Amino acid sequence: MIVEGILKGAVMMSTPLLIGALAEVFVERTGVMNIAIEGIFLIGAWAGFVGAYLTKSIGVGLVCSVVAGLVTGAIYGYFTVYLKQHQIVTGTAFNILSVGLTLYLYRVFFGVPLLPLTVEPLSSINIPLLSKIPVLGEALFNQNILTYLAFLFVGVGYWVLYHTRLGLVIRSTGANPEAVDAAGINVEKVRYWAVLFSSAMNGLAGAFYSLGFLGLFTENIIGGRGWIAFAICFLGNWNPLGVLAGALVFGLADAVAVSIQTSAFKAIPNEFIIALPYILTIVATIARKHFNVPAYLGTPYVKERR
Amino acid sequence: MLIGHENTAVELIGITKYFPGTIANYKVNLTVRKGEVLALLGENGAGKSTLMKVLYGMYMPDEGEIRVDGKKVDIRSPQDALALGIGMIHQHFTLVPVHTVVENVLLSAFNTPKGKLPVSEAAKEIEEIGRKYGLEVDPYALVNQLTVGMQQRVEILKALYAGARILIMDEPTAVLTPQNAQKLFEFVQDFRQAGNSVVFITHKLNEVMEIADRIVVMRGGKVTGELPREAASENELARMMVGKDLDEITVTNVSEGDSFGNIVLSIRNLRVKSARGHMAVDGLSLDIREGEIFGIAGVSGNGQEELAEALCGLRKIDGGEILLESKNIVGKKVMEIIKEGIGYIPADRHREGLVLDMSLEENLILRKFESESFSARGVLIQENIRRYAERAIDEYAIKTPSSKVKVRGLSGGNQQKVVVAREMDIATTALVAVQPTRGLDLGAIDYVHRTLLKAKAEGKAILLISTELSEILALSDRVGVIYRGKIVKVFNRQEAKVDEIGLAMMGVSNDEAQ
Repeated sequence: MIVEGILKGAVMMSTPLLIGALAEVFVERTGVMNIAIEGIFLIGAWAGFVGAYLTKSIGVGLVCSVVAGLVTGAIYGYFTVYLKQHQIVTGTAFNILSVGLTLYLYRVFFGVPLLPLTVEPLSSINIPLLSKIPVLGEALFNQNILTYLAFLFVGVGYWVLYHTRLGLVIRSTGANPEAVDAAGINVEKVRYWAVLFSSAMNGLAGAFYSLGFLGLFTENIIGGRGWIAFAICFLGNWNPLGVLAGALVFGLADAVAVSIQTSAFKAIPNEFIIALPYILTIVATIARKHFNVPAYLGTPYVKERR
Repeated sequence: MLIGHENTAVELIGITKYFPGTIANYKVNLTVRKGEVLALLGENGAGKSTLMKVLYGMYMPDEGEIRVDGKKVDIRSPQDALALGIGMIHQHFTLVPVHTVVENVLLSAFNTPKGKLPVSEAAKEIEEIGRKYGLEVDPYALVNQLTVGMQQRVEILKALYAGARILIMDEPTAVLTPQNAQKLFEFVQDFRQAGNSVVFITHKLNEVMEIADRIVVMRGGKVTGELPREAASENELARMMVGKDLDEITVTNVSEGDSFGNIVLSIRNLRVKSARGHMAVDGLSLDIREGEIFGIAGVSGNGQEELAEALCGLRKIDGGEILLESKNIVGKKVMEIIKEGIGYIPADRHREGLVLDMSLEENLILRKFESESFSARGVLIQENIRRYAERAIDEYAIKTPSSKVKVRGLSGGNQQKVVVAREMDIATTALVAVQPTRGLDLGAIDYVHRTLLKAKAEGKAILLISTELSEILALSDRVGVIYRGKIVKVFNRQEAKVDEIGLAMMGVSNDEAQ
């Protein structure tokens, strides 16, 4: 029973990380770091909550989160891809801005309520029969719609990246944008669309925190989980399957920590469990010799003047 | 024009292309016929590459029109050019190193379908084209595991797969050994025989004479001459190219074998690892005497870079000794080696030689700011630095508005002069020069060559590393051929024969060749 609960929690907690990290894989494969990911998570969480609260429709909330992600990404992408501004500096500015902005706009809409406002969170979709499979059934087949989408996205993402022309262009843009340019494909356009796509997905991932299980918004609702998704992209070696493994590890640690916190078991402090995946990340970084870092990651593309 | 359209593949009419501050092409007319090899000859910056990039859709012309098969066309991107049967082999390959050959081919093919990649079909076709033209390459090999010669094949295959009938080749032999260049020429002939056209961009006169049917010479963005090969002579072409007869460095500058002084720099069994961890310099030995230029010929990637870096203290040495005037300098730091008097002209002036966004003055003292005349207790002495820079500007005829301007704004030749000025001053005993004339025009090349000969006359020991065989032959007293990290053969300049050097560069020893 405990194991089943932890597994279900692990899959649930890994969902937004998976969406965010997959989105990051796509954008980084084109050579752009969407380092505004933490801020877009937060903006997505805010927009999702506000949309859902005002319209009483969780679907509208999700659409709002995607649109908010898109708008943020459009600005971030314009700065980094077209104006060639430094991605880390620009992204950091976005992240800091998003904290103040979401809190301010929350208060513009709702003032300072005594109790946090809530909406009904996303309900689980129980898949008949499959959810009755022992141990894993609940974890895999009784989750909300976003979880199913995230796992679908892993397979589709992998196929697109490695087996289609679009994927080839995406991978080539990060590995050698000049080759893409010489093939007559607009590097900036590829990168801009990738930023838009990843930002929209990040918005959705953020909405998972406000709408997926809590049904409320607070200023520190994301609390660095955007950064975790960012790290998982790296840890997963810019590969959708690697990212899946990474997201599950972090999700599992989260779920174990929660269950320790609420149980009488005190031999291991739950802080240690929460810290464990970070320690693993650092160890993996040191232990692995070759990461397939996209060669032009973080480098704006300037068409050779002559 | 008298030529009928049925014979014309491409016509460029009145092409003008401006870049900020320069006119790259001015009202250029050029015709490429079917079944011909057209050599486009000119110095660096003559506008050859720009003109061809206009044809290939990488640049938009500011004026003029392009006709293909007699019809006016609008080429807005390389995809348009490829669809019209125009392909281009760039000087710097535009390959994705971490992808396979077939992935690279599919990336640039305009007719690759939007959805699933037709990998196996494309691989089959690549093999077929390869067999047809003698360009065999494993379609599933990763590009970064191929040799430079093979990578060039991939570039050609990319164009042929896309159905190119007109192939533009931008200095294609720059990276090849003489033997590989010969194979490339054979391909060009085959391709032409099949009724296709080739535009061959080059600044090497001998190549033009060997391969071209017709020669167009450009200078300063304009066409300065056009003639069939039979009517051309190397001297005449050179005159058209530079606008004046070149005061060529001839072999007469080379001293007789015995006239040198003592051994200044002696390398014994040197072993140096590359960045990738393999033994790039593997038991290399050589001696350079006072007033001698020792040229190292070889295909790039045979340990030249690592050798130079090891000599200048930039790379860890895994074995052997480097004796500078009988003193072992292995393990010394860069600053100490500079004090020992070894100057270093690196292959890539932008990456290693200069800080482009710093001033000319600052760049001139970049490797010797610790000297007492330039700094006292960590504070730079601006007045001395300025005076020193002005002297250098004068002595090396560096064209610049002042010593305070950023080096980025200078032309390539003047940038290189800054590096040369600095390193000549450091080099009191020895000078290591790697590709010292890469990317320079003939005038600047001449200047660098003269400076090296001056250093030689001053009794310095000079190690000249270059992939330009003509440069090695023009300057060196002795030529050593490097292959897989060893000097496999040393020639006295008088006895050096190009084909023997070429074979040694390929790792073929004389006995095997016979």
